[in-house]
Amino acid sequence: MTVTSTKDISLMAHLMRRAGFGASRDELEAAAAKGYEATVEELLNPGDETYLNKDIVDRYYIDVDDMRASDAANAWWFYRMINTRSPLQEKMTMFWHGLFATAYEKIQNGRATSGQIEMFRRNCLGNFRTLLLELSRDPAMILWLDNNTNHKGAPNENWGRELLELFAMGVGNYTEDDVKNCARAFTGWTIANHVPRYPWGAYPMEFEYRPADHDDDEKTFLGRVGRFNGEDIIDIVVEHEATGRFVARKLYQFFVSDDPAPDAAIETLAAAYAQSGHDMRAVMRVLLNSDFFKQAQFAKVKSPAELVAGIIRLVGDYREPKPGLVEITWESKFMGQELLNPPTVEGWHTGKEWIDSGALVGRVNFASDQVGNVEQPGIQAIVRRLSAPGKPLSPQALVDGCLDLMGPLDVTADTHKALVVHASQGGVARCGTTKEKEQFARRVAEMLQLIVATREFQFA
Amino acid sequence: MTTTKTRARTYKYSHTIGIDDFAGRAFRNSADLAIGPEGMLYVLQRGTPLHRNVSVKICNLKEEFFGDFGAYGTDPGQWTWPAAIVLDSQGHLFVSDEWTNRISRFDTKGAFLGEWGDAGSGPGQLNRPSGLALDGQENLLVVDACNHRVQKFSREGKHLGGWGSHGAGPGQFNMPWGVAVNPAGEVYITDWRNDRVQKFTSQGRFLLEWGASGSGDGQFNRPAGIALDREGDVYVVDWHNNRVQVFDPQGGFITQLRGDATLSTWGEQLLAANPEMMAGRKVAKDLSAEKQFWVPRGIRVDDQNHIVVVDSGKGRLQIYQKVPG
Repeated sequence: MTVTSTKDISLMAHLMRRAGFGASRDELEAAAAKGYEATVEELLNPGDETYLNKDIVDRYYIDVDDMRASDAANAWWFYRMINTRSPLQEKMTMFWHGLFATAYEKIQNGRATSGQIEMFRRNCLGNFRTLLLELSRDPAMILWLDNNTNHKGAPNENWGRELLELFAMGVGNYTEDDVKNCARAFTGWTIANHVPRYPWGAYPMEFEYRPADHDDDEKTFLGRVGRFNGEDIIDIVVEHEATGRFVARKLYQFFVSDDPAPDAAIETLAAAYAQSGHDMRAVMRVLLNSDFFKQAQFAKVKSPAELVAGIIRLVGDYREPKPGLVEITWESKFMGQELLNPPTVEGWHTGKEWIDSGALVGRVNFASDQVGNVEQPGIQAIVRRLSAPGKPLSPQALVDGCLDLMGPLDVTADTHKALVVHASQGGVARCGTTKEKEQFARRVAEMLQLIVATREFQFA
Repeated sequence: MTTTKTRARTYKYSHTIGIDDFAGRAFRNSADLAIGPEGMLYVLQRGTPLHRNVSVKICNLKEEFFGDFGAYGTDPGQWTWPAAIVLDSQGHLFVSDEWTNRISRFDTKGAFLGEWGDAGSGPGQLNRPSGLALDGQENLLVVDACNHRVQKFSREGKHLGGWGSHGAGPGQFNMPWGVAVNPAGEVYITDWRNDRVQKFTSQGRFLLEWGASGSGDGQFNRPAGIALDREGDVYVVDWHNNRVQVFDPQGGFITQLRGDATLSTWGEQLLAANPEMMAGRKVAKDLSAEKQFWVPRGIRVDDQNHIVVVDSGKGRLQIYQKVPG
């Protein structure tokens, strides 16, 4: 038997919330037994994924098999988030999707948008240069930022500008001339003349480089002079010292805290970026093992997608294809985050901006509906743990036990008192007779419903 | 239009029926079809989760559209995940549902006539029933996919037997999908996750098998629908290889069909009424990708040897004609 401290479990729960979508107590204990750094290494090295049984998913989710519409692409991603054994891979994919925000609203092609997500997944923990290069060639991005209308002699600066401003460096690190020359370097980077969508629906799109449409003249970019093509621009951008800090700041905001990043943390991550030759796995290894990460428990508001995927994982639903998955993805949309369809190229505004009165009600109602179902295997597992000692639970023990298994989650004294007052209405929770066991399960589920309605549960 | 001649058989592409859309005279996520007298087609639609538009679309080989019926749900006469459809000589349509684990019966106008089926693994119980076929006595063979077996029922739902268990040996299955029966009562089953076809006597005695995982001749990437022509040749929808493979009755490879789609009459009318859609087609340099099958699922052959392929991912049926010589 492995003894793990409450502190170990809390830290592991923090890691799994941030680098994934939460974990059951069994999973947390198993991870804690392996140790923190070993668990980080597992997260950083996604393994074989045949267990996802994509063929079975395609067989039963006929729209995922077809993948023309955003609903289907969204459903497949949520299915992955719910069932993955490599949760950091999905979390990193979500990070890149938020940073390189591309919306179905304009693309109108599920295979193109889901293809971009697949590209993020493939490169999420790889080299930043490779990722930017693939992004530059990604058909959905080309269409999204109009690089298909970026021609020799008539440049469209949209892609070139956002590459520098929103995707890799940030304002203040380049000039307007750099933007213009960046755009010129990417002329001729377009999409192949694709098959029309009518009358049989959209087809996949493919990248095409047209040398005749490429401006091959000399350009000056970030102080360097040459007959730059897109690859050269990417080389210069990834080497620039502003890029490391930019990536570091974005990672900190997504994985560590909604509060501004301290300089020391940025410098640490930027150094890892530079020293590793822009290897995102190396940067994330530093981040997840850092004290600033470990100390930032509950410092972020869960995004809607995190909340939805986390709750479904917690209750243990959708472990195999069944109807209703698309409706689950809509819950995230109703809370303000429709994956594959961010509101603008800036992505979503995160942190406390996830919460408004409508979104909060949606979050609480969704979570409450799910954890209130005592038939769900994840809820039954919580009930089993709480009833395992076979002893009656006082109202306070019932509250503390549920808070422990839902996090461990610390709540304010006022919240704790309110939960105990509610639990006291049912008196001592017993689990001896069959009737008592049923009542016990219902009381646990009811307490979980109250816990997911607390302010504290909204944080990761 | 392509014509393939091989082994004293000729396969001529005939035409395409359908456009991709949610409602009305169109198909979306078709799962299977049944063929009736005089070229009537009953095309089973899985629809989309958003619109919950499961239905049977009724049309004929001449591209005339006659309407649809069906409703999403779990109540009697409703479908959630309809998988296969077959028509008997009485004009009754049988539909399998992979979620409700029921077989429901309708007339060809859509009137609900009854249903049976319980979830489970006992005799007569079902776990995600998919392919359907009628034998010479018009008993119904039901591929009981997640119980890894085939079961036989009377048309009223009386359990008459079955065979199969989970595995990869002769007579075993791994989530089988489609079923077809020849006039001698011999049964062909696509053993989906084992990437093979198995042939049995009418009593379920194993006769032969063919296939392996891959994309070469006689190999499969998850075989789905299956059908037989008048001469007993076997047509297998090779789902994720996006093709149909044709075999002789003993499993000898004859040829493959990759798709030859041309604009359907419905498509031509849609484009004529929407110039902006036509404009998109005019600038396209290469439409060859349009011809190919896109995650096809079902196939049926009528008594005139019309081969109708359910080209599920593209909202259409592609029709071929087999002729001697």
